[in-house]
Amino acid sequence: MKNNIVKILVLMMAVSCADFTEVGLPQDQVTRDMVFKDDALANSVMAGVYRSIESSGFLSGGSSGASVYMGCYTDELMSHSAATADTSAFYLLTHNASSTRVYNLWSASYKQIYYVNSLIEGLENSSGVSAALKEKLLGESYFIRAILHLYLTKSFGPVPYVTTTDYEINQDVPRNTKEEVYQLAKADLLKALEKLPAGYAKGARVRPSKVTAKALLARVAYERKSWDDAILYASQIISDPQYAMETAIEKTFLKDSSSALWQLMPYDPTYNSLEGNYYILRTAPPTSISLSADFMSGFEANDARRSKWVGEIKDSSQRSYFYPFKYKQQTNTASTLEYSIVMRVEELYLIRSEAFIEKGQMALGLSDLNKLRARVSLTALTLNDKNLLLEALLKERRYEFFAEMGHRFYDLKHFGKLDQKIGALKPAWKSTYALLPVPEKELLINPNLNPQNNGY
Amino acid sequence: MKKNFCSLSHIQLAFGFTLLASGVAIGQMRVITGTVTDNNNNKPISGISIFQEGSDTVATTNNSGIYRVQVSGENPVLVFKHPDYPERRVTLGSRMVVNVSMSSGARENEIEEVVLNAGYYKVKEKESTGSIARVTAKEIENQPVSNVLSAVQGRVPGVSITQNSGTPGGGFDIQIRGRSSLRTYLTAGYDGNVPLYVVDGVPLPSLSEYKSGLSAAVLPYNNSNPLNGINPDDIASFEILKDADATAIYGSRGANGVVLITTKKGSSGKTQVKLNTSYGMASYANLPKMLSTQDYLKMRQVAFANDGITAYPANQYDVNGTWDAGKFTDWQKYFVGNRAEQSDTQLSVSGGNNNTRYLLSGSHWEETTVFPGTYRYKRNTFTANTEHQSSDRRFKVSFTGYYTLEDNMLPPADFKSVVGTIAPNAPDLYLPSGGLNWQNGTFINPLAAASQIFTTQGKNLNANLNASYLLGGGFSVNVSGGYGHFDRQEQRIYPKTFYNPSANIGSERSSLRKASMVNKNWIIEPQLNYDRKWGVHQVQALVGGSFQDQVSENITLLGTKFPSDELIYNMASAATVTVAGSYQFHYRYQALYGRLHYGYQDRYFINLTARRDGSSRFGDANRFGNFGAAGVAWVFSKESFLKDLKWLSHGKLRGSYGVTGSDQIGDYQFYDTFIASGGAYDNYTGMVPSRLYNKNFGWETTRKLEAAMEWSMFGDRLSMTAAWYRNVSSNQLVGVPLPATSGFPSYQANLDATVLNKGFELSAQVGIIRHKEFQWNASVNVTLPQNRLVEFPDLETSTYANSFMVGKSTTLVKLYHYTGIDPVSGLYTVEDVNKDGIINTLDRTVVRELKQHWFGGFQQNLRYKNWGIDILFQFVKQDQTNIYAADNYVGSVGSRSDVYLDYWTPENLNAQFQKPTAGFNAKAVTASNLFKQSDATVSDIFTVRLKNVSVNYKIPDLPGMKVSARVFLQGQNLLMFSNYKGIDPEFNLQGYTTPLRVVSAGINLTF
Repeated sequence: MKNNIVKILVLMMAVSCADFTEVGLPQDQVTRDMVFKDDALANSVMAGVYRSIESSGFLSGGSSGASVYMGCYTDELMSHSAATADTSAFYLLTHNASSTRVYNLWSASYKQIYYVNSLIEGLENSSGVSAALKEKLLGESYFIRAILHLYLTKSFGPVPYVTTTDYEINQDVPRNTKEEVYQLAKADLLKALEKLPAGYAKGARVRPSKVTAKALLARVAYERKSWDDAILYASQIISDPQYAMETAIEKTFLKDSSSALWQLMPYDPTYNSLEGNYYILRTAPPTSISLSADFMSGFEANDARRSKWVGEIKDSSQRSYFYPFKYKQQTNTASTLEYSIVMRVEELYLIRSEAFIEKGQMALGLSDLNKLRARVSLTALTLNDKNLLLEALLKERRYEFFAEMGHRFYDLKHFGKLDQKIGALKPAWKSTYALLPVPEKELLINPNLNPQNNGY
Repeated sequence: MKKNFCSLSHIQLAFGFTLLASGVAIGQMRVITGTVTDNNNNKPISGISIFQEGSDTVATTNNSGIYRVQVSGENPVLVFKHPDYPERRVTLGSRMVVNVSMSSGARENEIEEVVLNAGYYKVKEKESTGSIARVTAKEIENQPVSNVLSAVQGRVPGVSITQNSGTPGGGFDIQIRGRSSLRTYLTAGYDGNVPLYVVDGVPLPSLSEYKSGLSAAVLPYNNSNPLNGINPDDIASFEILKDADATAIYGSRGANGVVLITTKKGSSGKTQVKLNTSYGMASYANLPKMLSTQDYLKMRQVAFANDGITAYPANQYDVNGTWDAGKFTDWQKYFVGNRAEQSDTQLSVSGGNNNTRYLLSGSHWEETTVFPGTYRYKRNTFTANTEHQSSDRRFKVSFTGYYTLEDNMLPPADFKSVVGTIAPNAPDLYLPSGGLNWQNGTFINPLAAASQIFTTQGKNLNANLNASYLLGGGFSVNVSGGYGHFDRQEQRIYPKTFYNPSANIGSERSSLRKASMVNKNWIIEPQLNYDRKWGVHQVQALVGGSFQDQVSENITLLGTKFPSDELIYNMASAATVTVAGSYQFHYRYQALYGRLHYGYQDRYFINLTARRDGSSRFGDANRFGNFGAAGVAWVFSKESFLKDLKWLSHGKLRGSYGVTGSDQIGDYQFYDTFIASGGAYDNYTGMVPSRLYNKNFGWETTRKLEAAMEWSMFGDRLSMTAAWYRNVSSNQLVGVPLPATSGFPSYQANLDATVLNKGFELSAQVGIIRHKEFQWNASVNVTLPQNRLVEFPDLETSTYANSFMVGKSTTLVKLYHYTGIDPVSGLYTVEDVNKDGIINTLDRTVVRELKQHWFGGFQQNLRYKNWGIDILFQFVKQDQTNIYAADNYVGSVGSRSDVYLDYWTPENLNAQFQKPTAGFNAKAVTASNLFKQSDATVSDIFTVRLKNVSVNYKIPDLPGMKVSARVFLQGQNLLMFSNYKGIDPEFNLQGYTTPLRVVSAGINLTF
């Protein structure tokens, strides 16, 4: 008996000891090797990037993207929230280098950049993903890497252009100059242009295509004031009948919008855009944000955008509040009606118009601008003075792109009018607020990012 | 190259040794007989186990109390054991007949031989080489607390316990000799300093890998404690293993100490039915007086004036005349000033004969909150325990099943946080019709948010089966097996009542979140023991193995768009159901452990323990780790040169050194994987990289050193223990911080950082009066802990630069130096240390350690005839964050304490607080933010707390009645004396309800 028990005991201890602690992977994770052996999984990783872009970082239409934050920062939106709320910090200009919202814009973008870099590296070393899909996904990755870095540099000034997943390199990257960022972004966009599919039908423009790449190249040219390139790329899209402006402007933000160049799908096939969800006011007085009085007072008479893209709600004492009503759906519908638009064709008319004007071709410039005005029931302008024309363009941009992807802030910056316009409206404004502060945490851990932007 | 787990030389050593020992000759034999009686009534006692110390032949007394046992060797010692009586040891000398009387009543009079549970073995306290603290059932029972940790607070030296919240169901912060890991909620999102909890031999799941996040605003860190599911009255003993000698046998899980809980077992004899019931009331003590509406509005008006705003903005309803300026509500009283109730009922039946004993017990605990509304926590527990031994006492088997049902219903956020956001002249919460009042959309009614009720349902099963067999020759084997099943279902509803009805939002926006967390684990631990004593030599040895498997499955579902809010609890009624998160974890763990204990002349002891662990949490190269310790003890009072000292009854010096480890980092961290991110895009499920990949990280290790002296004097009237410890934790498994440009904030690796915890622990017990009818005992314990970061490479450039500093405690904060209010601007100022004209992180140079300088407890136990009184004071000297760190800038919307009346105005230049701002003055807001990060927000405080008072009275037994009854009155957190600025310094995370003051009364009946 005794000996048997001892034997059993010894046996039990010896049993399977070598492999006991070898546990397989959980069912909710797959390894990197598997991901890039399979078309469906590679597609899933790309889908993960889009999901992240739609819900966080600059391009998110929700309460934490450039649309809301930069809208509050300038003269479009006003925040009704407590002075300590995210939107109020931008609205009241009480943001600083340790603000979490500033950090979130920065870190979400670099996380998304990591995701696409990881895709690029995985795809380049993969033999299992089909050649056609590989090209398409690489194109999309390069495009996304470019647009995110462009938003970063426009907001933070010189920023590192990150092209690898290697943390040994990324943990002490220095800042690239703005010029370098634009060069690198342009190079990525040209690669994307080569690889991306030609385009997508209306209602399916949920991924970048050659058209989107050209549009972004046009924007890069416009921001760098390379007017010939701007005209070249913008014209290629304007001449494509697939990408016509919606003449009935209330259709502009529908899923099937013909003017959309790139849209983001919502989380669920019954959801609609995050913009609609956040902007539309159901009760007054508002508790989140509304369009500012300054914005409302600047509308030209008869501007169709005033009646079609602006919503109004009254409180119990009949005071009116206005909100962006480009997206009409606040909640679920049987199936999604509206996608969040990142880029649309109207911008290219304005880019080309400015390029023509800058090159002295006033008539052509006016023609593009007036095409845009005609569709919103505004009379054609007949100005000939370059400065007045540029002023008109800035105003047109303001009322065309209000509460969209932070356009107003970047436009004011492009036209050099931030101090004049925002300074006049907000006494707390400082010229140095043209750049957001580099998050303090980042400076601490990576001293190569020093110096901090002026004024913070 | 994979290391082979089995080719260990120490197993062979251990076996070799035990075989050798069994060959020792046995010596002279004789038979001893005698009678055992109860010294209260002189009646014989049956069922007493009698054995010779060091031998495994056991005899039992018969119904007449008579026994007969064979002994051998020189100067044998007989041990008399019975669960109802303290153990007795009798040195035989040359006697052949030994009559013994056992005393059950006044145990305090006896010099009780305390036997400590060390987990894999038991050890007599007087021979122990390690540091094991013990809290007995007597100290815990009947206290008006739902978690035993609340009852242990202040009673054990070296152990700091903080209750995270006064809301039921929350977590605890328990530090056994300080924090050894840098992984805290702030740095890692979870706490790497939790001890290992072992209940009846089954470890409780240590790390909650998945948190639904649904309760984060009501329970600090979204946390709960694994011991919440155990009724404190079911606990027979509670042991805390502290030093290397005691914890190294737990290897990789012993670094943070081990908490061993033994549940109550049945006792033989006639069937006994016990009924305990109590009822208590609890409230939030020390709430400050709030500002009146008049004072508040004046402050707001001044705030706007200071901001240069003359026309009040349309949305400032409290001050612009929209709301009634004459109205006042004490929101603090309304939201957290209610009376909570608690009730506790327990029924148990036990009995059995000499061979078989059983205990069946059930309990119900219910408690409400101090919040308005019907929030409550309920807990039902069921226990079944049976023990059986064969008539030759060689074979023993015991089974314990512990089943708990928990049901908690809480508001979505602690109402404490609401008080500071609602103006004292805010409108009524309810309309006369009973509906919520939105005051024409000007009032965000906090009760609307409160309709997002959070519920948790827990079902915990913890079962343990232990079988042992005496092989003879000093050998025995036992196998302990355990199974745990922890099922937690959390749920939060988002009904349409959240929205202002004028928005016409219907149930299409209502949603339901359900999180299911199921954890199943089993463990099996076979063990071979050897215990032998011959002459002056005493040897105990054991070798065992441990195999553990833990699977947890977690899923959160989100249902949206309901046809009606009536159906909101039914996931099937949602039009859309999405999976918001789904995670599976599999953890496997195996170990081989051993112990060798040798005693010489009952004077010199050496105890060696070792363990080799393998954990699935590490990659191939680092999967296994070795841990071990050596402990020595010298009972100097038995030395011949001290033997004649009458006043010294016991004296011992002991010391230990060893290595323990930790693998608390979560599963799969060494894999390079992609994980579903939730949601699909363009027909494909989104997947993202899980982490930055590093497979080369290994065990975190803590080296523990301890030296202690224990002595008793004057017939054990005064006994004292003084211990010094020094624990060094290195190879820290903390995420190595990275800038966001790397894509992830950190990657998993062993950081070359070292944390030192050292300190002194002193405790003393005094038997002041030891009369038969009147006893008075007092005890005191004091701990002086020190926690220091010794090494941290490249700290200055890491994201931890603001959290840690070499040479300082790991709980430090770096702060601005507050330099008072500027007499011109009326704003707070902080020092611009580097004189660069900008106030930024570089100026945060004041280092304050949020630590306990010393802490302890002072206990009094009085017994007079049928009366008993126990009083526990807890005291602590600490640096703690005060109220100023949490409160919003002066002048903001919201109710606040009236101390803020002392704000700066040109007339009040010596004010404590800066001039009010309504939030439109960026300079004032910034100044307020800097102040909140300044040294003005940390206070050095001393707190004495009347932690517990218990008065009980045993109703004299009536002749003929078979009932004995005891009534008691208990109070918890009764009084607090502190120079703290704030309500209560007991918290880890500010802004939540702190532990409540409770008074309860009850009765125990035994049939």
